[in-house]
Amino acid sequence: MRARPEYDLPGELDPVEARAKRLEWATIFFMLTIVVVIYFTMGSSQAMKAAWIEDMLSFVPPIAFLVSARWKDRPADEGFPYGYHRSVSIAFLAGAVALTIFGVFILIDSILGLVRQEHPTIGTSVVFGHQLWAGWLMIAVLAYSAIPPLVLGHMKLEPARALHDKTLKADSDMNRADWLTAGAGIVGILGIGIGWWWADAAAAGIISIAIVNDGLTNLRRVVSDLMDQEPTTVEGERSDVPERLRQALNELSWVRDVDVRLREEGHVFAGEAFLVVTSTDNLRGKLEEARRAAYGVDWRVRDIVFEVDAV
Amino acid sequence: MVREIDSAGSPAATPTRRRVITVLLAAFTLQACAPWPRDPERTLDESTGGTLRVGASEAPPLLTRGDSGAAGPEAALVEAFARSIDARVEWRWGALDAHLEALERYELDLVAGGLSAGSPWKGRVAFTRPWRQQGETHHVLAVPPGENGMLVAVERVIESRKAGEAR
Repeated sequence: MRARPEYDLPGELDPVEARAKRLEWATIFFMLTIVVVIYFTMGSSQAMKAAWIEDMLSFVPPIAFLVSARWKDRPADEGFPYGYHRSVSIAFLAGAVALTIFGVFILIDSILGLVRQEHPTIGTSVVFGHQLWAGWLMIAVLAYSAIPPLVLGHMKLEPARALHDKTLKADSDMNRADWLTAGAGIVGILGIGIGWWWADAAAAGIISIAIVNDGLTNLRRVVSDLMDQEPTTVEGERSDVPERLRQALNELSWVRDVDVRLREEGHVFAGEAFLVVTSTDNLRGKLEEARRAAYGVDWRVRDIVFEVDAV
Repeated sequence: MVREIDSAGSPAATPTRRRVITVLLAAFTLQACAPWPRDPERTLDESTGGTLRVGASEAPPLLTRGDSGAAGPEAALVEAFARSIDARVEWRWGALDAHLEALERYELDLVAGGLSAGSPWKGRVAFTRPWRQQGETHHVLAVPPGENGMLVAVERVIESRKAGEAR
């Protein structure tokens, strides 16, 4: 079988991609530190457990992005003639399903905690020879866990738009909403401190709703991708690229009528163009012209197959 | 829900919402002025300056029943804690499991009887930090579940006695 041609990012986007990769490595590093400190301080707080699971799951988009950054340079071959872009979507689908299931699990857990009137226990810890209520440590850890995702999430927004990368955009969205998790957790622990036993489970419930919301948003996004939805922007709006492609082809003097059909594959749009031509003389030259016109529309337009019909 | 707040920036605070937030903050501030953390079921408040209901089970050599109350290092620890909150100990002798069930229902303030940190009751009642280590066994006391003020008060006595022994 004939494998599709290789594709490269336009040269001016290479530094943007390098920056995105650095941001994702930084995300993985900071999330590791967060996950470790939360694990060692969470005690019996359900809100801390919920925050921990959300932070664990925020590894999925950076890893998916970094894996895809490596694999998209891998050319299509005879075994996989359409290339390897979809592997990223499948990884993302798994992540989104896990996120949703965990969220529902924590929601049920916290509702049960409220129904059974479970009173969370937080005693003291000894830190550097000082004995203090462990709730203060938890609050400090949760406050720390809010900062790196917030900063990195904002830094990822521009590269996500420039690269037209939905994984990066989903990651940025999740990161930027992460402070709500930390905030809810802190309120829950403060609530325990003033003697409201239900505050912890209530905070865990709020966090779990945020997790389920994240999961369903990502699930909708990735299922749309796998269903070959029409091309959209990273914000989820209809892309103008198909219409611009149609117009560019329509402007060729020998084209009488044209329509296009595009789908998204990772960063790029691929698909078919249906040309009705005035005559089939020098068809090879005409198709070469059409191909140049099509690929000049946008760097994302790749691997267009032409179907030609004469009047 | 998350994303809406995110995209709209800070949600405009309506007068009603502002009032609700103010009342919540005021309630929180009032509560926060009291000793921290506080017990949901007021165990520490009710035993301070009064009676400390202690469920005790004989666990020689740590805790034994003598002619004049309890004896052994665990009894000394409980008495020291009671002194720190100006309370009188009411020793109630019986089976450990029955005591722990009563503790779970907030009918006792403290349970002593050679409990170890690995006991399956961990999670149903609140275990303190270990007050003594014998080989692999960490001995703990138990307070009612989620009574964090009580737990912190007992743990402070445990740690200060440990520091005293080390000196």
